[in-house]
Amino acid sequence: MFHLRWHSLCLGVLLLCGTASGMPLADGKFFIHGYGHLSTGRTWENVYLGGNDELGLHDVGSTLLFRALPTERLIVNTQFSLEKAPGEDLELEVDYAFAEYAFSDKFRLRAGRNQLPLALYSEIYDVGTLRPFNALPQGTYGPTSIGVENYDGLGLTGRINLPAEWMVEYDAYGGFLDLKEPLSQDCDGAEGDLCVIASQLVGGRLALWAPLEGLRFTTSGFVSRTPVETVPGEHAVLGVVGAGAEYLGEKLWLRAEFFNLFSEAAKARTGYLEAAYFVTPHWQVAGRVEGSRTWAPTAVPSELRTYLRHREVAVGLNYWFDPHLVFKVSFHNVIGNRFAQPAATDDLAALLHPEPHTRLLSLGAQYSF
Amino acid sequence: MRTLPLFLLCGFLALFAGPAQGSPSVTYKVVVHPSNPVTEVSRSRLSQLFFKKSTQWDSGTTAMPVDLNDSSPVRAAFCDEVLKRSLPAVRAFWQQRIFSGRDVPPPELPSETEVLAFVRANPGAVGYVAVGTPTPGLKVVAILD
Repeated sequence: MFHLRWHSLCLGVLLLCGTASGMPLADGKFFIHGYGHLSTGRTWENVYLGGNDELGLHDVGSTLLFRALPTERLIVNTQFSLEKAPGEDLELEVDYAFAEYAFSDKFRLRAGRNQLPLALYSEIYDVGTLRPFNALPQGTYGPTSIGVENYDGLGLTGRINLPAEWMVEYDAYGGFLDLKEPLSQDCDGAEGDLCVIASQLVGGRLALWAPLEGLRFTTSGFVSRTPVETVPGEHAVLGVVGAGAEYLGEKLWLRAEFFNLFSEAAKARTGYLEAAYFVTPHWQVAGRVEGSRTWAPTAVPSELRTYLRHREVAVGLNYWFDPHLVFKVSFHNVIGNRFAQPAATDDLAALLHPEPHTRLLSLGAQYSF
Repeated sequence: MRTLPLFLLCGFLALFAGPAQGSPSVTYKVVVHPSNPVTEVSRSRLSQLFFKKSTQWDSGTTAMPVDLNDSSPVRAAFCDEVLKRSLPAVRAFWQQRIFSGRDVPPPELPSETEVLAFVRANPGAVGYVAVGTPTPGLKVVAILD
């Protein structure tokens, strides 16, 4: 019954809010926006993106964003999310809450819980109406230390107009963030099947906007370290660096990114190419290829190396009611068990010899206003 | 198994929901406050102001672009010809800016009368209305391509 109530509620919101575009209030000094998603589907062989061999609700969530402009130069942003993952209770989270003071277009200071300006999608992590698939590429945005949504601290941001209609937007930041690692025996902060490690960080991003509307290039990265010494005089240090390009045209969307993660514990490389094309104003076809590979510091038996690899090909078909409401169906073919893993079992043999091939059929709906 | 029928129902309703199609060609004129020294503006500069890639006039005054609402054919024409993007693409651009916590779009006003009143009340304002609409007390600026 719980699922039915959620679906009914979400369906109502989808149909009522489909054409809305936010609510400016208080004479343009206060704004309310929001978005939501629900997805279902089934997999064959392994558990992937929360789905298994039974058709069921993968995840559902909705988010409200409040933006206030108490003075001309001061902006206060807050975003709350209600998320429900499979088998877990509905949870309220503060995605971000920060104040921004604009000294000028070139220099804006942010303080509080900020979205992490990394890669193309990290600031719009859960906004389904800004991407062609229900889920983001897992190597970059999945359960890894690259796909972090926010940090607590200070940030500088700004944009500089260049000749010939080019523009640079920069971000520099420092503070604290929670890294997500696979669950291990010495984990102090488990969250679901992930180990959350509180870390200090500094990082930045440069985005170059081309004169061709919709085209930008980015490079970004951060370095983090654990505040607690892992051995006397040493901290665990992790670095992430990558580059990406995005073209969002009238009919064609193209995105490609490559990231490199390096640390004492592991090294990883991941990349993807994603394309989507509107064959009519409402029907969109999409495709994505992705690869991710991790190297452990010690030798790994050959039969377990599949847990360090992920290759995926996905195709999708979407119906956009308008830019604020979309229904999506996609098929994913996955090789490797880095993110598509066997269901929890006591059968050690099954875990030691996993089936590396996973297929997923995913259905979802997303809205925003 | 209740999930699949609900999704199919969602899809079915959406397909028959009658989305808006295209826009007729409508000419427009761009208006600013009479105290604004600008007499002509390039298309690309106007585009920067409405995408908020630039937030100031050359005089240093804060620019305050104002839009007509989504249903206006004048807005669709302005998007196509000045911003060089369709209205849905412009809305998608603003979604990205909103949800990344970067910016919000210019205010959308429901009628040309309200757009003209907004421009009259704000020295940095810039708006657009249909070419035949009287604009007493406002300055019409030429658009250079």
